[in-house]
Amino acid sequence: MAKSSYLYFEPERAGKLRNLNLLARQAVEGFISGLHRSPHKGFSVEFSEHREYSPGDDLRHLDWVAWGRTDRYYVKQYEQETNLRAYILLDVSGSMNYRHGEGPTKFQYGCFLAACLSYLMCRQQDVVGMIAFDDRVRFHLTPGSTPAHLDRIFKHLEGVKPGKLTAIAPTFHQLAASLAKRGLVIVISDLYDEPSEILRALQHFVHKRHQIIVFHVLDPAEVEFPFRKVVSFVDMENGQKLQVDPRYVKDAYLAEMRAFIERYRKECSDRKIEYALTTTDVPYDRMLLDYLARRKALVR
Amino acid sequence: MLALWFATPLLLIGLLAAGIPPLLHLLSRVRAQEVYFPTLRFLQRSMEKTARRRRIQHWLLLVLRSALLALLAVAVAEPISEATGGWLAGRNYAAVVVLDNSLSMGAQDGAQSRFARAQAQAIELLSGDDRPSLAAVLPTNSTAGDDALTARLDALRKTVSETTLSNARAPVAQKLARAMDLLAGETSLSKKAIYLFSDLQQVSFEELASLKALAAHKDIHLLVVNCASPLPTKPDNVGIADVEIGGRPVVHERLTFTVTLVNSSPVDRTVTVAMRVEGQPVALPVKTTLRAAGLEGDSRTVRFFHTFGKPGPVSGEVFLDANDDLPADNVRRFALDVGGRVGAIIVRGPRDPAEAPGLDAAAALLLAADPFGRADRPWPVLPRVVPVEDLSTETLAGADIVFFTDVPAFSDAQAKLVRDFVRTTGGTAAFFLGPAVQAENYNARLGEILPAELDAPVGEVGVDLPAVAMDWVDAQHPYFEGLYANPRDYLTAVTQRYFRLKVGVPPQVLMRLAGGAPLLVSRDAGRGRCLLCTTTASPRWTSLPASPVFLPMVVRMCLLARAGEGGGGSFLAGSQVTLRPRGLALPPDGAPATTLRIVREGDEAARGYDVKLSPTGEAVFDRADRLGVYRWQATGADGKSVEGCFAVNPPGAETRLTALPPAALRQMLARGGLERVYVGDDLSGATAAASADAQGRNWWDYLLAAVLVVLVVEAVVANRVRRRDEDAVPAYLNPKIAA
Repeated sequence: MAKSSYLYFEPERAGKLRNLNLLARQAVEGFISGLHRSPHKGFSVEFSEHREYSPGDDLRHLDWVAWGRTDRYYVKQYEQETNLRAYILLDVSGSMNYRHGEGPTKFQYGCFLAACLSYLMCRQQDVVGMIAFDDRVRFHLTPGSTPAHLDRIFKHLEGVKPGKLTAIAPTFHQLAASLAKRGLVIVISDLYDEPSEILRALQHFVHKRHQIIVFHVLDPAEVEFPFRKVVSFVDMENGQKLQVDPRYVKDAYLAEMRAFIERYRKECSDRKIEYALTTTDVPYDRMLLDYLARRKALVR
Repeated sequence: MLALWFATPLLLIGLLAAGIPPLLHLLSRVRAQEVYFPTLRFLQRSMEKTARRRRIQHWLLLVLRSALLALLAVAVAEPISEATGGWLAGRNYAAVVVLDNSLSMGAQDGAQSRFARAQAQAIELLSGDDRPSLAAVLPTNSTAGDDALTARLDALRKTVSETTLSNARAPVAQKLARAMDLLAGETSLSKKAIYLFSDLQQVSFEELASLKALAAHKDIHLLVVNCASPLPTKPDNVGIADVEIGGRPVVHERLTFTVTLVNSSPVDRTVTVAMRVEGQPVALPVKTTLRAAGLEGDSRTVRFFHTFGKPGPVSGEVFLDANDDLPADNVRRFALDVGGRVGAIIVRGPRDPAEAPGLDAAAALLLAADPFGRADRPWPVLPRVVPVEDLSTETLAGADIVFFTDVPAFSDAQAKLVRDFVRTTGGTAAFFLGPAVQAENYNARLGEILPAELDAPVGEVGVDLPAVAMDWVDAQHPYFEGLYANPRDYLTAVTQRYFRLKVGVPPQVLMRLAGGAPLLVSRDAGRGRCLLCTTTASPRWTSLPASPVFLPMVVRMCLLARAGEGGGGSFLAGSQVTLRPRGLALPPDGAPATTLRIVREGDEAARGYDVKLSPTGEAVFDRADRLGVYRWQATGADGKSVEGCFAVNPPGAETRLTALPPAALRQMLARGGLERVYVGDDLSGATAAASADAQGRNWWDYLLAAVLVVLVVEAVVANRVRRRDEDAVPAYLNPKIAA
């Protein structure tokens, strides 16, 4: 396979996922017939129900068998498969620029993930939009599915740099209000903001009948806290310093982190939001492969 | 009150090290590495939650580390605590004074005797400022003071001052056990001590190691006051530890007096030893040199020989010319009841006219029993030959041994006579066989006393015919002991014909032929003894009568046939003397018991003792506590007077005045389970030893243990046990595990 000219798109990795489709778990609105069920009934391949004939209806869809039996005119209606409108919301705040070991930063990991997902969506004739944000929207690409659109996405990802502060909730509220059609919203973030605010913002998407997938990206060091010597930690977003003896705080930190993750997991589940935790030491293609395979089984 | 001091106070400078941890805490600033982290929100909350614990932990570690260094500094300085007023100060206690009044305590090894020193110190204990609240006094060789503890110390002081020296060995173990019992019964006072005033003779303490009572009373202190003089030139003593008399006390028998001398002095000593009988010197004095105590040669033996010419009770003494610390062991007395000549009857069978005179067995025995056979050559054995047909009660009267040579057979009356002679009278019957002997008659009539049943004779007699050599002689038996240095010298006889013995109860074999056939066997029967020689006493069947062993064997058979002494002997002071007067007619049943009058030589007759004889003819005398010769006299029921004598001597071990080293004494007592033993050369020395050991304690080991404990606690606090990191996040939340 030819080497990619994009920084965050690796065709050989994306190729591993070509047999998996990102299916919507609920009906989504679209304009191209695709893999996903449309809420609009029409005349497609899949029979859905009968409707009483009214003048102007295409006589090709008149059900002569039903007329023979009931002496009334019915036309057959078909469920239309439509394409998926997906929005990828990528967190590019300062905290996403963290890495402890040799692996990618959370930001890089998120970019890889976003690029791969975009490719997958476009490949299955879905339309995908990309929104990068920190305390504000850094760029917003409206949904599209053409190769040119994909190229635009990749280029934008390469061009964006991690910012400073995070303000996830206001950004989400703003986006929820602006997205006209319901579709699939994919959030890639470390979710380092006030959880109740973030969850309320996500609820806003749900309220607008979007389907939400949250990829919670963390560094292994954040989950395991492998520090042993006294360290002066510097906050990556606000520059605040805190000297810590890890021997004393490790247990308490891990308890806090455990509660943090557990809260998102539970609250997302309650709100019918899909939640996937990943760390940057897990290859994103492998993570996606597992996730999509698991999800496919659930949707079918 | 306790005083605390340090063995190496200079090392207390190490206490300054205790200030190092706080100083480091105040001065040092941790230069922590700066590390970016996505968010501090969780860390801040964690810091807030653990702030209190961290603060406590920090202070705890600071304190522990300072304490660790301080403890280490104090430990290496070896703190020692000690009671300021000695171990008795300010406290009531119960004490038992065990006062050694054995013979060795009479040694004058200084300005005063050991016993006088012991008495003075015991009185000092009972009257000083540190006197006990309750006390008892137990002299080792007296029953005085064997009461309960009392607060009347004046009475106890009187007991101490009135206690006299005894001539016996000190039963220290027995008295200590009694003292333990007295103290164990006292519950009002928790502090208890035994004060032993002794010269620490090893012999007095030998039983202590096995005294189980010691281990049962671990709360009791034993303070031993060594009353022997600490002067390096002391003790100065050579004593006679023993006089052993060898041989049978009969007239014309040469007795051997083996004298054992012991030197307790720290230098070599030369002494002159002499012996006298009934006040008359009987041998030339012997001069001998003994090495210093503890060296090889500090004990020597000297021999005297003496032959008594007339029978009867006789006494004598062996003595030294030494003028030393303990005069009592410079003389050792003995008493003997010398018997008359040993009566030996040789009963011969009918003579064979064809037999050559040289083959006469009776003649051979007669010659062996009295080789001189002349009145001008006194001999301890008086043999005579009697034909078997003359055998009667009268014949045997006064005989100690009867030899039978080739007697063909015994009538019932004769057999009974012989049996009674052996079993009842206590005589010895020795059978030598021959061609005329009827084995069945012997077996039937004398089976009760014979060592074994006779079988048929074996072997042929002739010049060219084979003979069986002697294979073994019991050279340890008194009949043969010490005759020859070379065992082969016993085995010179050969035998051509002899009676075999039937298999039965194995007799005591004294001589054996090659092939295992017994030649001479012995058996104790009743009060007497029966000997059986399976061949002839003449050279007819054997060369035994012509062998060198024959004559001494026959003489010893005669001498040892004499019953033991009945009224003489030597006894140790303080022991029980049992007398069995021989020849005294006992009164009939129901009649008053016969009384034995015992008077010590040198005492007035009025100071004698009367001892009643038991119906079996025994007199038990338990007042033999003074040294000397005691003479006794009793009148039998037949009006005939019998007299005798016995000697009372000190225990030989008391002669050795060397004191047991304190360390050895403590080791000996520790083996018995008693560990609180404190030895001093005087009362204050023993008390000081108890004070130093009981309340002077080096705390080094305890502090070192505390250091180790603090070190462990510090390690635990500083490195708390953690759960495994993987366990920190549940598996379902850990993406790596979930993946």
